Amino acid sequence: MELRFSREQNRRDRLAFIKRYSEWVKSVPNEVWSQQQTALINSFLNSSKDFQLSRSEYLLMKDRSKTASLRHREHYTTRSSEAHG
Amino acid sequence: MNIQNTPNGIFLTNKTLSELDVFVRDFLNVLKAYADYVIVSGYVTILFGRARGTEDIDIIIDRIDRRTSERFFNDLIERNYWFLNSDDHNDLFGMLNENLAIRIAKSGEIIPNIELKFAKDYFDNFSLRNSLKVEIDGYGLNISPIELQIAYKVYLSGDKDIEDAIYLYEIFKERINRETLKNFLEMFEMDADSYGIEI
Repeated sequence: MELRFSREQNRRDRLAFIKRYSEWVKSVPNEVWSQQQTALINSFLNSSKDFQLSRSEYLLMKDRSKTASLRHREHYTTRSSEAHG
Repeated sequence: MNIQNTPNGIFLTNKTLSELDVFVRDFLNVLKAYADYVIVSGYVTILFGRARGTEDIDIIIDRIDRRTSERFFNDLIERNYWFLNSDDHNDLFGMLNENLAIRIAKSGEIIPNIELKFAKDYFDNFSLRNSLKVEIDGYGLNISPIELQIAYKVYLSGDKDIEDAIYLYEIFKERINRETLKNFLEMFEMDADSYGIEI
């Protein structure tokens, strides 16, 4: 129960952050947000160069990830329709 | 954020391009010669400043015939791309024809990659026919209508998807067509009020 509460709190915190971040992006010139974003994305891509999976291993991983997402979606839909009667 | 609306689309000036932006721009420079396209999903939010990475860029294209696909695939190989699914062009065209996605990356690399598929349903075709043109300091790209992106991300409902939907809504809430957003949410049978997405 405690774990579920933490997850929900974490979700709310994330969504609040997204709103605050979008307000900041809207308030500064394109040069400012895009420079910071570029540093983040380039760092992410640089880390991915250490990625040692083969093409087939990567595709298998993506397949499993999509299957898990579909299960999540079905679970959400079922709960949502139950909640709405 | 400086966004200029014009009758032809959106101007986004003075944007620093990330390696991901350059990867997308270079790929589109090849693709444009062979098919109409539209970029959908995560990269649309990243384009407008969302602070997250992504491994893949989802692109939907109009159906092309086998001969055109062969020329397109050969052109990509000449420009140092490879395909993650297969090296056999017949296999790749067969996958597209079966509405499966093929993945394309720079040769020898896995990330980032383009996830390319044929338009297969109403929403894909709507995105293609009503794409939003974005002009970024000298190059242009077609993205899915923002209203459809928001509704679709709410429909997908993963944590990352909901965050993308809220981010796009917050960035574009003064510009979006609320009636269009409402219609798409109804088509997906989704309610977005609880996320602060007002229609």
